[in-house]
Amino acid sequence: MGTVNDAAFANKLGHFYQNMADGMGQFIHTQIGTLPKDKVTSLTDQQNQLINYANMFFTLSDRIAFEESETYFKGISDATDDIDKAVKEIKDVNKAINIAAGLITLAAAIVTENGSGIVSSLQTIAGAIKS
Amino acid sequence: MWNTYNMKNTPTVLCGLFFFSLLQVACVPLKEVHAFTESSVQTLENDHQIDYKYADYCWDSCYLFNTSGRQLADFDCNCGQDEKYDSIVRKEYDVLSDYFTALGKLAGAGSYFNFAPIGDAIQEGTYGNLTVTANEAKVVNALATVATDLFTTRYKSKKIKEILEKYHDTVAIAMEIMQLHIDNLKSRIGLMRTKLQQRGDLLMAGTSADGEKWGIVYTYKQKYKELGRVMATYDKRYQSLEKIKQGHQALFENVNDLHSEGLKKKILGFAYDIIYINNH
Repeated sequence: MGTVNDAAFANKLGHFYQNMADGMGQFIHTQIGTLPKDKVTSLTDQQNQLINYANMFFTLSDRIAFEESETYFKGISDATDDIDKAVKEIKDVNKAINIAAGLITLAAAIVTENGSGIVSSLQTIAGAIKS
Repeated sequence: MWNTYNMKNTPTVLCGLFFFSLLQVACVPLKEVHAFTESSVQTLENDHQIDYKYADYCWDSCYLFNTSGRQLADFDCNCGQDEKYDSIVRKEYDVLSDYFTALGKLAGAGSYFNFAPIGDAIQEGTYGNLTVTANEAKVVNALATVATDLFTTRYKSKKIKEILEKYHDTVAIAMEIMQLHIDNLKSRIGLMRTKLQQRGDLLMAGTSADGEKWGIVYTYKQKYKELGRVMATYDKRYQSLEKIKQGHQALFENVNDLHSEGLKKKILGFAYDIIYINNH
């Protein structure tokens, strides 16, 4: 199994052969009318070989990258879980704050002997606990 | 405790509120980070819009690299592996998209410690020995709002720092892998275009009939243009991934100073660049 650097190296080799194949293609394209048939055949055979090499290196690069990817993308999923936990922590603290707020209101309602206030703050607390 | 709060203390409390407000200015929310993550998520989700992937390449190359039409009639292109590649790449985009969505949630306005209910619970009035004036209630409510921002910003910055320090390398390498996939596929499509040109040249050289020539040129041009469009789409995708990678790198390098003006400008710049690349 290779590394991501190996995959990048294979990609670079692919580009090298691709550039050679493109260059030869341009030559054939502009000279095809003036070149003898056997020369054209020989040049296109060589160009085909260069295309095949380039394809081989790009395919190899992808294969190595795919083999490596599992480790790294698993790492990113772990990061996402960690962040989600942090966001959930905020929600949990919010819940605690809401319960505390309900308790303060309840205390005020009890002090003032406000019956409906007691009921509504109890409902608030129950709602905050459930959320 | 509240009985110590009365009108004469209000100026002191207001001074405190002013001080907290100043602190708040120093600890502005992470909205630039949020803008960056949002544009990153948009880009990563755009992968669904590219309708030419490994399997499409496999089918096209299967025909273009085979020179004999007679052989092709019974030729099995066997693109099963490429279809698997497409689904793996799709998952990789989803994993990255989830990561930036989560980071955005942490940096964004959606995740605040909400102290407001405590503020709301304090209303003016007399509670036994305790008297809370309208002004005092207002000040407490305002303080609760400020505390919300202060606590949240500090918490978020700390968490984002932890995440970036722990996972930056993993994210950077994963992005490189995505870019390699893009470049490899785009380059193979490019090679297919080179082969297409070669076949067009050979066929043109081998015929003298105008009708045949027109057919060859037309077919060649159509396919050449189609593949060119696909390559341009992958170019854009590569560039936007590069910007996301650079943005993440900038966040990592400034992890101890997420609120610096320089970083804010830089991060917003990346967000705009990503949006620009996606829309042009």
